[in-house]
Amino acid sequence: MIDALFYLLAGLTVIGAIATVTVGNLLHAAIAFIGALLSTACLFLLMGNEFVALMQIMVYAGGVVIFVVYTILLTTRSGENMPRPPLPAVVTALVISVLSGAVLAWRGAAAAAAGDPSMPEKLGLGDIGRRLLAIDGGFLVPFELISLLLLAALVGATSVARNRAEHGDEPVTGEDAA
Amino acid sequence: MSEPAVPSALEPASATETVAAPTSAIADWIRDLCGDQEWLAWVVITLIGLGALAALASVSAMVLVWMERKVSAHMQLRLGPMRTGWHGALQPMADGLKLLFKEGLLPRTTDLFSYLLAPFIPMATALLALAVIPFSETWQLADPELGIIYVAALSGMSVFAILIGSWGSNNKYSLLGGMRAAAQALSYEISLLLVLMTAVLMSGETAMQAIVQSQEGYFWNWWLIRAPGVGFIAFIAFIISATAELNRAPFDFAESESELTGGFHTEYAGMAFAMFFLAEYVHLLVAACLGAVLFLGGYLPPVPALAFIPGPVWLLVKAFGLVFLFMWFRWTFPRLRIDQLLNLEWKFLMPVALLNLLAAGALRGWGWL
Repeated sequence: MIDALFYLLAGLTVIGAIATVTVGNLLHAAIAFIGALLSTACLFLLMGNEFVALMQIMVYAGGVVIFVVYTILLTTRSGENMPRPPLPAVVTALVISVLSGAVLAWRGAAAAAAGDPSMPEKLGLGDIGRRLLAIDGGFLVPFELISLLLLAALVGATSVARNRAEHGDEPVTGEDAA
Repeated sequence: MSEPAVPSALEPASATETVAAPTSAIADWIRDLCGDQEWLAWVVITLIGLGALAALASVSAMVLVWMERKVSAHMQLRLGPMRTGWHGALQPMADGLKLLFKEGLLPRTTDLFSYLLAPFIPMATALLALAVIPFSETWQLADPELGIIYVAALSGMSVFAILIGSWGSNNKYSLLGGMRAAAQALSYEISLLLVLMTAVLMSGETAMQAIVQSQEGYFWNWWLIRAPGVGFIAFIAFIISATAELNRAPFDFAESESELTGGFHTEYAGMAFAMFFLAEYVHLLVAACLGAVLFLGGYLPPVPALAFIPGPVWLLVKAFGLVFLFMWFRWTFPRLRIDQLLNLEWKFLMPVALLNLLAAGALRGWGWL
């Protein structure tokens, strides 16, 4: 049954991915992209890796693509179909994706055959945290840099909001208009 | 009023590993019946669990719709529905039947794909979130180790329905409502996540069941009271950001009847509208249950002596108390302006939640929790 589920989800992922690049309507492409991302998340779940699956949903489906949809809705001509890309561009994209897919499949098969004996059967949040923040072989410095960047972005957003109000950029209310 | 049809503990959510699920009579009986065919038992138990979730969701949505009508009426010195059954208890039935028999309109200029897809998403996310709410030690459909992150991931998906539904309707009121709702949900998601992380930091757990268990004992062990100040601020921030995430008044810009003639669901009728409408109330229940689990001890009684009252009753009492709080807000506060709403988030709530997270980390680091 696991195999059947895998093929179903993999098929959905592939269909979603193909629809993402072939559908002319931008919003439909974004919806298909969300579908592909969600079925990829289900594939991660099938492998028993809850953390990666949830991060996939939260960061990609819930974050990135929602922003993409939001941006599409802000454009004025969002309902029109995109023009077809020229043939050389299509061929180049096909070649690149086939090549990268082949490399991934080859490396993935090699890694699966070798296996990683140090990997525990089931990864908990604690294991991930300890591995991520380990002094030796961990990612302590990138982690701290990213958190610093995010903090700077949050503080920056707050200060952008504050500056606007100080310049008296209040929207026109009903009384003002009257 | 309504006894929720939650089944006893069911099988794990993931097929590849067996989570140590609490055994239950029904699940054991089904496994016995299926004998060797474990996959059949798994499928049957999962389907029963999902059916029970759907039943719980629809029953509680009906109760909540009735409650909203009665609460709003009594806040305005009215009686509310009185003629359908005892104090209008059958009013949700009448509403439901009316919506069921209404024609499902399909305006000609809609974008069919997104217009038809949108009504299903909020109900799906609400039901999925309900699956991890612990009603007692054993009454929980699934207890993934990352329960909190799971809920957070789902809450991010629900805004997607509003976005594509409003765009697919091809109506300027819908689009305005959808854009407002998206700006609001994306902003308040930050403080909601910060509050959830504060709860994780306080309890040191991410699984729902473990968070409840960390508040064992008397009511002063609940995170609302136990973490001095931090828990209370986190709770207030949770209530505010949950109200915003639920698109409820005073933050109901997505609908704002008086400005946008119904907002993002202007073009929806019949059952398509009912899906949005019911999902809103299931989301309300999920948010209230989440608040009860994180800050009010979940299904635990306030004093151990009251443990003879079963856990689901305690959880529902706390959750409906929070629901009443949400309804109280709705009928007391006037609707904010959209810029006031975003200022509240970016200039006040988000910094407060961030500092609160820092304070929780400090308390944890000094071993005061």
